[in-house]
Amino acid sequence: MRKKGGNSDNKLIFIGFILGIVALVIFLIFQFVSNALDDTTYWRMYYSKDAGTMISLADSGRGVFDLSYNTINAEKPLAFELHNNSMIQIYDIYQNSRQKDDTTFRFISDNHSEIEPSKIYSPYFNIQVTKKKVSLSTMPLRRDICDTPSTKKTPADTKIFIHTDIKDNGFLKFQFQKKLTDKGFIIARSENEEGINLSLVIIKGSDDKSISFFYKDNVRRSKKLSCIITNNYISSFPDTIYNSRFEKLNPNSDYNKYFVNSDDELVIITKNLEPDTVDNYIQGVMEYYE
Amino acid sequence: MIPKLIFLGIAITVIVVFTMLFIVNKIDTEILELEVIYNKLLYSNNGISYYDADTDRTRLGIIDLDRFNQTIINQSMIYDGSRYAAKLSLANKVVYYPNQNLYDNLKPLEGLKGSSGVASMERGFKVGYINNSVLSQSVLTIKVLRLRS
Repeated sequence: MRKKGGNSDNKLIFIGFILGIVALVIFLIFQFVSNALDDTTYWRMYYSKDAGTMISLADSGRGVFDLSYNTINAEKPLAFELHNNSMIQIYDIYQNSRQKDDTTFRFISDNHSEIEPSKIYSPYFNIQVTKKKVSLSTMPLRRDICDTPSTKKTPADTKIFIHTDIKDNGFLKFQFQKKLTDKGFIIARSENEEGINLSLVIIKGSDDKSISFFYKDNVRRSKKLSCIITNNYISSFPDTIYNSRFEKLNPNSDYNKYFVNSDDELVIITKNLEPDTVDNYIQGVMEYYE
Repeated sequence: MIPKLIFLGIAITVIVVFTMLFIVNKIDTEILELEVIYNKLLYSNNGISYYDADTDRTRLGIIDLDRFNQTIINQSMIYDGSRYAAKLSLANKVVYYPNQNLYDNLKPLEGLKGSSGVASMERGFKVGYINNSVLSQSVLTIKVLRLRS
């Protein structure tokens, strides 16, 4: 009997050991994939080499080379710098302590054209190569094609919680709530209410050329909403936004207190939060649930 | 017990390899970069090719032998790094870009596999060259080296 018990203990230890290894491997794979998805190394390398070789070739010609370029495929907004020693340097605009690296690419340029050093923080810009110089110029954001996960819901079944910048004494919050109620949505008076479908925190930021979105959990749905809102904003105020940021909300952020029990949660930090821009957000929410 | 562990090892390796395969984090632009340098050496403004000021055109396949020298080639293009080097040979004349030292340093690494090696491309084609206002024919050979790391 003792022998049998010993065998079964060994078996349990063995199974525990196997499960431990499998759990560790799965955890490491998830960690690796998550880092890879969050990392912009590939796109930094891609854009630096792509633009560098293109400028290098265009520089050999005698005509004027004008190219509308963009870095929209990168997971995060990228800064694009052109240095006068024929070097392109690309890095994340919003770097964290873990990823503070940049990618550089030195290309061969022609002596006859001077390289005008520039820093570009917009994903859209223009590369111009003439006989005399190589220069970059920023272009405003353009409408994007949004992801389409199903988010259809009738306004009567949709409860929304809105929090706006406290500096406006609740005036904008009232505007949001009134307009959403007019469209048939249910308004949650507190973030602690049950059954909230969408929680929005809308803050006026100091950066006057960008709009930032921070999601809590659901990436695809949050991305769809942020894309719709950005598109509406661009349609209403073209040539005003040069950069858009979409990132996971920091778990230590103060805004987490507004996201208690909701299906979708989004913090929006925008350049222009005035009464006439409220309609863009309302329209965005309506399109999101259409 | 041991066969089970071996099986587990194989299963984990397969999963890890497949995961790695689906994550692309490298771009191989070696051939493209060699091609770009090769074409720049040929077509650059104020470079070795004959430039017709009347039509503002660089003539492909006609080399101005007066301009086929180290000074002109270094003046025509700027390169601040140490990854690329090239050797151009025409009618018993040899010039290097950006300089012979860099070319000689990279040359022994040619063909070496891995990130410390040097990739190379050599091409030759018939060109006409103008020497003392006389048009002759010869083969222009360009060898480009690129350090991988």
